[in-house]
Amino acid sequence: MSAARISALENLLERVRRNRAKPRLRLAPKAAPAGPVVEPLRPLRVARLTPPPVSEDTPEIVVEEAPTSAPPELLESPVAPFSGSEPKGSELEAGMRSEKATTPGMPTVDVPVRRTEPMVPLEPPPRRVATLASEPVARLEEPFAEPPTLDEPPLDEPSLDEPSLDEPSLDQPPPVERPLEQRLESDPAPVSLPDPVTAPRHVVDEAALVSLDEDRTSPFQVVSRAALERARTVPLDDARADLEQTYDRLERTAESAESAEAPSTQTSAEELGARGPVDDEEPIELQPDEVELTPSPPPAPAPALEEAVRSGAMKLTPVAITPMRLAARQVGEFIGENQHAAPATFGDALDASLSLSLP
Amino acid sequence: MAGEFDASEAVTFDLAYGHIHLDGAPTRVMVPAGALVALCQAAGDDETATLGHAIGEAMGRRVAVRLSGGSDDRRDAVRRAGLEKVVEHLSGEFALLGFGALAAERWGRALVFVIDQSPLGEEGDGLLGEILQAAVHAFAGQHGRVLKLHREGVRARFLVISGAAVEGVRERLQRGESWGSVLAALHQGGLKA
Repeated sequence: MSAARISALENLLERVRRNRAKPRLRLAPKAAPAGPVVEPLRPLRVARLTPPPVSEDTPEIVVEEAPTSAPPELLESPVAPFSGSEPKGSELEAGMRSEKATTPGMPTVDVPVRRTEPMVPLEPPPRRVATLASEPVARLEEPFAEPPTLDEPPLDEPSLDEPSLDEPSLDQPPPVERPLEQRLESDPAPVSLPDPVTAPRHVVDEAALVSLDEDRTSPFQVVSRAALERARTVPLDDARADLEQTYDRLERTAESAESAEAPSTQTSAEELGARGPVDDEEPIELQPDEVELTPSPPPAPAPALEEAVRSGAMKLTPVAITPMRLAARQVGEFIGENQHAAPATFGDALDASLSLSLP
Repeated sequence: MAGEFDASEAVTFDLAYGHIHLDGAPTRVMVPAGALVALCQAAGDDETATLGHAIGEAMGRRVAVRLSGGSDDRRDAVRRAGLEKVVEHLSGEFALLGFGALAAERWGRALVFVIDQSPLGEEGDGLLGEILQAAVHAFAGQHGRVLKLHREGVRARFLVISGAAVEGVRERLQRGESWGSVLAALHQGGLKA
């Protein structure tokens, strides 16, 4: 930090101390004078502008030695638009003078604004509405007043007899959401669930799905209840019996499908979902026509690579794209032994490419 | 270890003098892309190659300086750097100069540079290839060739290949073979001694 900047800051600090030492009165709502209001406002406007690039050789001393008690008319003059014919120092001087005024003015600006804005609720209680109509207006019109001294209460400190804006009123209970367990216990069921003991299991599951579909306002509640009921009421023996019953039904379905002309190779999702968990003691072997299987192609003799590419039988994919636009698992239909070839270094990649030659 | 490509303050506009500086390089001139293409076409292939070499060599040097991080052997530092890192910095240089978005693909062992959205269009592919080739020479020290493989819309692909194979590849491409089959043929040729 340059000596000029230090001296300027010291002057500003001294000015702040003098101002604080002055006896002060509670500010009237509309008593903010026009002149001093402008002084701290100007840096904020200028600061939003794109600051001109400061090169290394631009002397900052010229900027910083501007008098701290600059007359308002000087600060009010906006920064002149920069034109290419102007020397570099002029734009810098205007910009930096505005910057300098920002530093001492920040406490006076920030204190009232920061404390008032976040405290405005979306739906203030009726009693507070009247206060909001008067008090914030007064504060907004005096945002540039000096900070409150220590011997008097701050302007925006809420009085004891008024409820704070950001605290819940004692008259009204806070709208706290009920715990989930409480909702599960007390809320009526939106739909009637089938008896999980007597009804087949897939019926229970379907009922849960249907209730989930109908009552989208509380899906978690419905699903949780169904899951809880299922876990509590379906013993293992029943589940096993239900499983065997479903298996028999599937076998009958398979037999009937075989007798038909075009046997179905797909099992309905309903039946598959109704099987439930697989018991270790009684493993279930899936019938071939229950599951849609994709047979792996037989290892055909690989044609010549070039001919395959030319005929379109083989699709080429790059090993890697940088920046990575291709997942690694998509790599390498024709790469063969080079699938590993995501090289660690650029030199490896370069050498590999330069090693290629035509037959 | 070099960090990510940082374009901040890479280009300086000296309005007082009316100059543009690029990361310490000599002054630059902003010209329309179409005018540059027209100039290259009028000048011919050799002059276009010379222009591309001048641009790409400076580009490769800047990449090498950044990736070396102050080490003496810049080329070795670039070779030891990751492929992603090198391509990131090289693509940053391409973007700064306004030549489009550069990426790299590996087709088997083949290294393919991809340039998307180049404002030079198809007529500027020759210049882009020379720039890439000069850049690779500058930062890796390998005297390979960069040959245009294919252009599809706004995307052009350039293959990095040895000088011994460049003529064969060029002939196949001129015969109308697809660039995919050329790549496949290159992999059937075996490793060069």
